[in-house]
Amino acid sequence: MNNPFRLTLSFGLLFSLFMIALLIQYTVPYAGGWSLIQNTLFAYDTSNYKELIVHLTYLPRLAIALICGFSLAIAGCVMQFILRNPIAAPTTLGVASGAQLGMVAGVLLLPADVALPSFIPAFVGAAFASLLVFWIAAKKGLAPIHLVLSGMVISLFIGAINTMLMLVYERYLSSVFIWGAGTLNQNSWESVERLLPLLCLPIMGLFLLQRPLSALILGDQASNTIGINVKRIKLITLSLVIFVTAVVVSEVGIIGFVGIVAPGITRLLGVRHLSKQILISGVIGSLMLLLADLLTQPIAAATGDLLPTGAMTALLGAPFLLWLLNRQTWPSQLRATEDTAPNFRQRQFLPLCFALLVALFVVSLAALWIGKDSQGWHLLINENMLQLRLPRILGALFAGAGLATAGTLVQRLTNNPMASPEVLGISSGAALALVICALLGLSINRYEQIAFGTLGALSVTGVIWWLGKKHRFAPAQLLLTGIALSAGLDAVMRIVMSSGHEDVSTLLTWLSGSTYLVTYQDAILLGSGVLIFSTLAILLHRWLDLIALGEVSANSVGLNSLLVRRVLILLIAALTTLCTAVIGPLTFIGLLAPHMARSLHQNSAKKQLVTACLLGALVMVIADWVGRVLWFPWQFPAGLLSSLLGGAYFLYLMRK
Amino acid sequence: MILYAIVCCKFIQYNKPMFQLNNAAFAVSTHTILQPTNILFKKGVVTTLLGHNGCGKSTLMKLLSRQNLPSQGQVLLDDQEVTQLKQKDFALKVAYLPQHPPITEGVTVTELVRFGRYPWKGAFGRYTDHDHSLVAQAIAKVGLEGYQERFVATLSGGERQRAWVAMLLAQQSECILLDEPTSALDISHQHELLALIRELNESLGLTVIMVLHDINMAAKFSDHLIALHSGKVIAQGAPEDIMKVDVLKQIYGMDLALFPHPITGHPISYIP
Repeated sequence: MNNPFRLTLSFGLLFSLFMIALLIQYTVPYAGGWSLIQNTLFAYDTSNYKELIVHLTYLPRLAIALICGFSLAIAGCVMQFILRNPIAAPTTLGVASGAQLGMVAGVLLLPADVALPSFIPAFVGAAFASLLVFWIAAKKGLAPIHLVLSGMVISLFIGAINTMLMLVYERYLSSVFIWGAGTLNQNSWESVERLLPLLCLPIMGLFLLQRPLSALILGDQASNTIGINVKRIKLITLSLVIFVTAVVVSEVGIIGFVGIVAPGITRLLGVRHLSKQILISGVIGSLMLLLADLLTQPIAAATGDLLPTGAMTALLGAPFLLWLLNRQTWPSQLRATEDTAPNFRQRQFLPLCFALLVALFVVSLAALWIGKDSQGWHLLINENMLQLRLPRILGALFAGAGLATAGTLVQRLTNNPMASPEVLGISSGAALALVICALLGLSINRYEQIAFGTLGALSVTGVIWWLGKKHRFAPAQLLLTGIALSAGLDAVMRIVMSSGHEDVSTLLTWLSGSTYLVTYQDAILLGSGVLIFSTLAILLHRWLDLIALGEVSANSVGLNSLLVRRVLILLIAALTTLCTAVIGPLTFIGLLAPHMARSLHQNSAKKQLVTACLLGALVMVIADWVGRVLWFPWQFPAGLLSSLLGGAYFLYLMRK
Repeated sequence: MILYAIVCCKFIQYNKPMFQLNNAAFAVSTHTILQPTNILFKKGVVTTLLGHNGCGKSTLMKLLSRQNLPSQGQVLLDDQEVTQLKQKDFALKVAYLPQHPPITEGVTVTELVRFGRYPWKGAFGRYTDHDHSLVAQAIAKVGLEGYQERFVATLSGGERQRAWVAMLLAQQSECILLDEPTSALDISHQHELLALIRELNESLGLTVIMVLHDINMAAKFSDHLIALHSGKVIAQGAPEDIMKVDVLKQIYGMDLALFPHPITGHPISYIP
């Protein structure tokens, strides 16, 4: 760690403290400044309404921000340590979507006269989702990779259910939208009183456990031999972390970013000991959230909107992380180190391929001809159906294939099984461009929609390129840059969504990846693009195999790593842009199709790419068809159903 | 006349250096790991680097394999600065085996060894029968027949090491750099591997530069030994010049005694 860098960061810390002091002065109600706070704290006078307001709303809000930032950052730090992945977040193991499901179920199922604080259903939902994750990963001995995968699948799966419910019961669930974006508004000390004991105990537990925990860095086997029951330690700490996260999320909603970035900054500061890492992450996290919240308050007051702090955190944190990334030199290689359970098997490639192709063909025909209307199921084989349904089927098919290819490329390039095309922020760019259009009140037609989406995606690609150049596109830096970008862009989007704009529900449909609007031209454009780029990717399979050796060995056999990274990034960007512009952002396919291909024992790059492609197409076509007929006359976006169906299948594979 | 020319060529070829370090040094911020060094690595010769941990051996290997660039001075390969070569051309001349080869997920032995053919065929060139037979030969040479379709990650440490050596062999470069190639091997496999490398050196004229910890093995299988201490070359020469009590004391900082091998008569070192 070089001294100037540390100096800059210390200055940063001082500066943020100064900013906080200044902002408090500015944001205290009735322009009372610090003196009003002083009065409230030391000479509280209940007859003074100003002091009353400060005491009951302003101070609890500050306290909540500090507490939640601290807890989330600690949870993130431990989570990243146990999962050995620098992009893991406290919510990686399904807590957030579980809590949201709890909220949704609470609103929909509980009778209106049962006055339950929203905390309880949210917490029950979060606990349920986490237990599910544990249950699935337990079969494979709670290895980091399996925990991460099952966590992400459960998140997507439950997230899809949530979005479906929101599409159907939109009117009842607008409060969930605001909660989902994370609000810190308080009107008494009740939340603080509830949170403090619930958070203090598990956090103390984490500190007590830090010694056996830090031994886990040796890897599971070595830790076992020095007398640590790895499985038990992991289970206990993860439960504590999840408990902490669930408590925070249930109380204030989903506040992203703090949990990922605060531990990251701590590591950049060169803090090595786990106990110090945990503590310093906590302090940085609480400062970050407090700062974000203090900045949110005047903006929210000025615009009159209910601006969610959670979104603001990401909005402010993203540029900071980008700056930090640009300062640091990064190791050119990031292996998400893990003890792999060596259970590789050979499986015939061609028969599998053939079977998938046949399945794809049959399913496409079924999707073309079998439909449902008010009279029930029917089989229609005629020209009309071809006109009506073929474009959307082709759109789903090619988007699935394209995103599966992009996902495989991203995971191989970054050597990180949690990576997916969205991680780079390209699809967020496309989405944001459209959201901004909607916000400005431009009613745009289909072509303009595609054009604007492409423009947004291309600008994000440009930014990634520009930021990555300095570090030779090192995977670690690339991933974190992408996370920062997409978090920032998503934050803007969430702010727009919670503002209750009338176009929100149309956007929600598009954001879930829908095929309703796909025309013949779109399908042809998408199809030819996906075919060209996927073929190129498959032709480059030797590169993809070689980069798995790590930079040193790959260079030793004559691979030009820089060139390879550049070409792969361009391919990923092209595929993601195409699919997102036409169909909308799809989370599931890009993340899980590569894993599904691996679980079918297709390990080499060529086989994995082809299999993932076919699987992606198959899942999307099925999802599109089911979405059309499941809840007639409603239609569900294919992207949602692909998370649902694919998620269920993947969970079955993992538990098998 | 023709014969003379061939002999001449061979003579010239063998006397030209493969690598040449001109005042090359390496430092991380203010900490110098390798002092300015001048060394010649001759073609067709097995050179072994000796010295205790942290003496700069691995740093020197990293300069040769151009993972690190010298902070001052030059590293020349065939009279050309290493940085001027394209990645693929460099790979045709030099192959490198890191001390801890990465664990590869879902790669079989054959696939791993075939990676060695990449510099010859690039991303798109078809692998011919020639390539496949070279891959098979390389696997046979390290004694991994019957393991072709096994996944590298499922092999034992020694088998994994040999699979990587096979990849280096399939690469057919002029020079191979091995950073402690025997660290994961038992005594019989150590001997087997070093004998194989020696045989390749003698039959194909392969240039070998490696790091070894076992001084007796190093003396037995090398033509030239280079000893480093605190980033400086403190002794170099043929094994019989290094296998002396005073030189060994200088290298390892402890007293080592020697006795003649009962059959060959070469000196063998032991801890008295």
